Amino acid sequence: MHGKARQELLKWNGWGYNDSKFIFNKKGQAEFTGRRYRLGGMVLPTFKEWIEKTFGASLEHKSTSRASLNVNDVPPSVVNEEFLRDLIATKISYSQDAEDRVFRGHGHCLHEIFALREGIFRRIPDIVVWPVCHEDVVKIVELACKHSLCIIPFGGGTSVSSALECPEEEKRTIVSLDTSQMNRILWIDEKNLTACVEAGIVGQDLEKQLAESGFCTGHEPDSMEFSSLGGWVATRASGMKKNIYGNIEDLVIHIKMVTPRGIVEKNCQVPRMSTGPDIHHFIMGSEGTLGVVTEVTIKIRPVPEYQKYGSVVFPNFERGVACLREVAKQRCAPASIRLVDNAQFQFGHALKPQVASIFTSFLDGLKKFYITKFKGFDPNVLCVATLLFEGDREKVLQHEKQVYDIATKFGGLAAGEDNGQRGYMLTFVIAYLRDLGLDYYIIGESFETSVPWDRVLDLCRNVKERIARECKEKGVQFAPFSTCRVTQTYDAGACVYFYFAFNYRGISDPIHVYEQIERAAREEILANGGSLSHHHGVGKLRKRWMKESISDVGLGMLRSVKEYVDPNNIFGNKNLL
Amino acid sequence: MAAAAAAAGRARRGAPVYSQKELTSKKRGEFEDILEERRMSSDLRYAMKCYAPVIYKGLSPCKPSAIKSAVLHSEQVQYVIRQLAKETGESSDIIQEAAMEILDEMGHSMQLGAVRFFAFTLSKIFKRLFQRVCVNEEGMQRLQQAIQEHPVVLLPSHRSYVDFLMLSYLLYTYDLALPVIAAGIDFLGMKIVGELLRRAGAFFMRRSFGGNRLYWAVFAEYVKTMLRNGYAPVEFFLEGTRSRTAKTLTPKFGLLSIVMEPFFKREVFDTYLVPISISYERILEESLYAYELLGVPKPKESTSGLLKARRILSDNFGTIHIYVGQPVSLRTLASGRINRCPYNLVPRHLPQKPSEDIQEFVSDVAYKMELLQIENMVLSPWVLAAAVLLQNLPAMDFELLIEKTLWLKGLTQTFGGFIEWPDNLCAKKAITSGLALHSNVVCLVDGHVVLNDKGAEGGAVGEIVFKRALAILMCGTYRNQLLNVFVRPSLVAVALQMTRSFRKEEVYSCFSFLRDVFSDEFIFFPGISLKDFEEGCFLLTKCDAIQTTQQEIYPTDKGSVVISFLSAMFRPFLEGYQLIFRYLSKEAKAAFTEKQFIPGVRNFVFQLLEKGNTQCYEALSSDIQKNALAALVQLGAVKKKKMTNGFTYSINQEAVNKILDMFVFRNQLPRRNDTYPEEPPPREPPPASAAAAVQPRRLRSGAALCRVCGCLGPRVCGRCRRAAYCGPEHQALDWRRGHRRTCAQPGAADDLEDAVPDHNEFLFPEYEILIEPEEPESPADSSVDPDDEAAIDTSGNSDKQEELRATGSASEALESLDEETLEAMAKHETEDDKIFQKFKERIAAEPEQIIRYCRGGEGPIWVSGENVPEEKDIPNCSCGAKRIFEFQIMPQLLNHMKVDSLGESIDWGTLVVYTCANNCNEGNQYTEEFIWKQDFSAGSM
Repeated sequence: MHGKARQELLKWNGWGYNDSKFIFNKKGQAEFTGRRYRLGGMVLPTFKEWIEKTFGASLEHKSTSRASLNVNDVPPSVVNEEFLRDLIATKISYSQDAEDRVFRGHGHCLHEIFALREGIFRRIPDIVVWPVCHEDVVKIVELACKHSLCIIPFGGGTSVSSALECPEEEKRTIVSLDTSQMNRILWIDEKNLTACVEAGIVGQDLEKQLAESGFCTGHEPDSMEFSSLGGWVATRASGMKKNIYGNIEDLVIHIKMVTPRGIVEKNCQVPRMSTGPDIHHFIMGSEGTLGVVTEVTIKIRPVPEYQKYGSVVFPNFERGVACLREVAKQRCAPASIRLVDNAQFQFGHALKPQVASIFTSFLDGLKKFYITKFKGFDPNVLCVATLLFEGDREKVLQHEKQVYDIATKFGGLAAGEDNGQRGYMLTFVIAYLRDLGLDYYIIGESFETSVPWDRVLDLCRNVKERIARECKEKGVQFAPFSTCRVTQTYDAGACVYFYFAFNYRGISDPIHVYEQIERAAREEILANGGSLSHHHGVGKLRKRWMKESISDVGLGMLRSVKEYVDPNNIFGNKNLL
Repeated sequence: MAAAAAAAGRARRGAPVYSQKELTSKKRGEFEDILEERRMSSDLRYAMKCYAPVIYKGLSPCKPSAIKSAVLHSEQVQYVIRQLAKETGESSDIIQEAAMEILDEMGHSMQLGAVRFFAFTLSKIFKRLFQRVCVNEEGMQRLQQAIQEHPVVLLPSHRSYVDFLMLSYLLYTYDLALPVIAAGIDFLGMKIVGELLRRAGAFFMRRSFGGNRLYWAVFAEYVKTMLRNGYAPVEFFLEGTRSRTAKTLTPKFGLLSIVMEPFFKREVFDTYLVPISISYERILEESLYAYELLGVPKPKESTSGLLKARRILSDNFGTIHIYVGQPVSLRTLASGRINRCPYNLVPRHLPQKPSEDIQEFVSDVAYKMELLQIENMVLSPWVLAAAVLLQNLPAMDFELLIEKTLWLKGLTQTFGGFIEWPDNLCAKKAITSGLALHSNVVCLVDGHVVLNDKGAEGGAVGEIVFKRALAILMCGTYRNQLLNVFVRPSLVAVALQMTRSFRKEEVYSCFSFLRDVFSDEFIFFPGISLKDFEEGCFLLTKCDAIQTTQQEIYPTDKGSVVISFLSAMFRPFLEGYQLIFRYLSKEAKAAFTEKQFIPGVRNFVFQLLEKGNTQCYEALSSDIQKNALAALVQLGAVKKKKMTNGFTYSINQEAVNKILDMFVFRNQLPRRNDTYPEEPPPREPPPASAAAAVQPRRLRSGAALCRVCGCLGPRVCGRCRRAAYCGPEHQALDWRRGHRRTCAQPGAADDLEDAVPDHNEFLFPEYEILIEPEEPESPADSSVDPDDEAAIDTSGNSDKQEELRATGSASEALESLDEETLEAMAKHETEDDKIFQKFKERIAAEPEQIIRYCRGGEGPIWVSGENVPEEKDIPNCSCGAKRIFEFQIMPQLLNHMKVDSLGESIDWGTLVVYTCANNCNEGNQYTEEFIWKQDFSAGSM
């Protein structure tokens, strides 16, 4: 549970907790600090070499961030006296402090972090308010309508679509509505297995509190340590274990949202209803353009009895994808199944800690011999699938066998639990790596898409090649690092997740170059039949492709909803449309 | 206006694929003779060498049978098979069988043994046939690189069967993967050779299979499988067939769109298109081609035919140049042009008709590739000499030929032509060796170069024409290699001559018209007429032939040589099209098939040639004929309809005539000349005060003009020193008429300038001439066959209307009188009367006509049977060519000029002008032509 001053706990200019980060220690070895993660306090002996080899980076060349926020750079807070008087009357807590406002004026896109480290923000919220319940939100929205203000809802602040950036040209007072204090579980209905939760609750808190009663939602996006329930609803989030629990649209039973028109909600809490187009679908993915989600009734499940990680190594990526496709076809995907390509496999390998205990690599010793010599796998081509099974023990074991049997048909080789577990742990710490890279002229980001099965391979290959080609054209001196993983499987296709980073030494405007390349990569995805986004959302970063994505008429439909619900554009973050 | 049109064009096409090519002469790599090493070491060892070509992404090669089975079992082919089974009720096994047969007929079965056999025999053959085979090494290196990066499509030019043998041979020599070649299925007729070709990597396609869905699916999938997997470069000819004229043919799009599809569907990241220019110093099939163009049927490809071709093994065919161009990335071409949606919404294995913008893109790429081929075609000295020679037929002084060829060399280089001058030989030697190599076409007689039309002297007229045409077409094959390099500046030159205007806008609209008409004849990138025009102007400016301002284009003094050379170079096409259009407007049936059209037009031209009414031998070429017809189809003057047995054409007479009119009536005097001012006369009438002074008193140069007649007036009046005259006669005349009164009065000095009224007895009145095609008469009105010669009528300036009407009524009176007389005479009709009556009937539709124009066509209409010239009466032109009828001046002109008093003023029945059939051109001056005057016979008056 977080307080109002999150910057005390979280980094002001990077990802995650203040105490957790990658550093190079005195011996020049990489190390992960803090005690929060299993990797915490461990030395990663091969990581330095990997980073030097992969990026051509050198520890000599550092690009440091400014030490703290320069308050003088921060645009002044412009707030109407009358509004302030009205706000004080409501007794809702608020702040006009520069640090509070800057913290809520950005998400975690590369250019935003870069601006924190060495640039400035032209426009940030003028005031931050902390409602503690639905009624508070109603009051704030009323005041905003009365005084003609602009509200930007703020949940966990983990957006990677420029959704939290304030429109520069916004002349009205911008109110950042921070939902973090609306974080109670209102009730749990064990008969129907639902829970009504305030929308500001952060993912890990929700799971922790439900676990106390023996339940879980099972919704685990990679950002679940920081992202909020309301944010999930607003962006159509997807969780790692969606194969069992479903994505947010499958989990949500009821939503209460405060709009300038009033409150929108359904009259009952039923599994399904045929009452015209589902109004939930106007809300989910609306990205804060229509109102504030205050309360959500969500499905819950008993905490699973047994969890088991696993991994399979495949001779090449093609075989791996074919296996995942078959698993999806037989509808026997475990809670999570992911396939990382060779570059990402090697990357994970480089993060192997010195203390070998649970992190023994399957490529060590006999196993390595078996895989490369006996089975003829090429360490530079092979790829790995990581698995997570959940449920009662017997079924898990049965399920496991079924999946491994399929994998064998595609040349797969079981590679142990540890590798699987490490794979999933890495997804949480990998976000910290960007901050390390930024210290050494390396910038990078992740992006994702969804794509039909038959185009997965072509898309992965073409996007990587496009990135390489664009980097060359834009004068990037060192070959970029681009890697992908198939991170979700569906009946009709898959979700593909890319990491992309490069060494920007010798480039005068790295952010601009980065954005051009990212845009090219997105163009490539669209040309290969991929979607604009699987779960990150559109925000302002990907708006340019909306028309192409949903057609003119489709866009018009969304616009007309916006016009009805919020005719004065109180929720003026300019996302999506 | 032109600019607006271009802007609209851009909006339609999106970002153009074609950027104006680098016009500065660029460096092209060095050539290497690959035969040199062959002459020095063992062919057998060469054939048996270790051959391990690099292939795409280190893929291991795939057996041909595996490819066939992959194609047969591909989703694409299986889908079509299921579809057909459902529609026809046939069992899918049978259709699968059929697909397998197609695959067997089509698929290659490349075997190293066959490749080695070819390497050996081809070494032997090529060494016999050719002096050198020169390749740009740099291009080969680029190709090697490209093959490893992305799938490669080789797009060579197609002039000869040697092309693909040579290309495979070349890749073998450089240790590159042998291409699979889309070759016409006619090759399969050649039993052994066909099989050998197949084993060397050729695969075969039917020439047309539009309707056969199974064939299309199997074929397309076969090509795409080859490409997607990158087993080997895919090779085919954009031109579709060998160009019989050595002029690049307009591209075919089918195969190109197949090889582009894997990229559109993103099955490959990119595809390289490699334009390859293969230039022959002497083409193996040159005489075969000429016969074929003249309608002697092409021998079917057969092994025995090839064996007979062994005769040519003893002959020398000079040097081959192969220029492997820079690989062009399809992805780069497509960026921003392709709407990806259509490919994302349908499963990729379903056959899909390409959308309009895809089709447009494919066409753009095809043209771009051909332009790149053209850019790197090597031009030999002989090519230049042939171009010069064809303008100086029938004989040309050898020294003059050398001089002119050298001049043309400079011009060609300015225009970006790629000339390889062998071994830095001096011009004389280079041309002599060119003549020696082409001794079957030309020969040197008494210091003159003449066409080698052996046996032409003795034979019948028809045979002479045929032999001559053969020689000219063969010679033309070489000149043709220059045309696509020259076409833009040349069409500007032609437009300048045709419009007689300096206004850019007018010249451009004429250029644009010509470009449309010749769109099947030469290679133009679609839709960038203005850019082409600008390029043409730029090149002409570069060689100092013209100067341009914002609105105007002026030929320079020294530019006239260039301008007239350039337009003469393209004259065979202008005249050829004119003849063909005339045939269509006059002779052809309202609807016809291509099978009827070609012999029809050939006969028409043949007869004109026999009579000497034209010198345009190239109009006999079926290539020009087809292109001209296609041009009319494109311009909407002829409708093409698909029938069960091929295409049927129907003519829109009016539209054809309109197009025909654009061609006629041009003046050959250059814009800047000694006679006329450069500027066209002002459009508005001069202000009232100066109305009397119609004649300019001085030229802009300052030269005075005669007060009476307006000619140059070097003499001045001795007393006033102001009035200028051409000679004593007009001075005396003016003196009598009144100058003696004004001469001494200094006060009258001002009106002295305009002392001569606009109409005196010495100056003829001025009219505007209107040109109209002659309306075909309806048979009911007249017994004369309908026909569409251009007839010319006068109508006065506005201030002359009154007078004209008077004349008009006078001639009507005369006419009615004539009719009475004629009726009276009808009882004892003479031959002469009949002719005059015919004359009268013919002009009845437009009785005021003053000129009838029909160059080279049907002769003049005579007013009398007497004094009609025979052929020998018309002297040949000074250049040696025949003179042919161009136009005749009608007696009505006498009326309009008011010199119609019988017995007192000048008189004629008709004046018939004959001009050089070759349209020879002496540059910046008038050429003497021949006029024949025929009087009314005494009897008819």
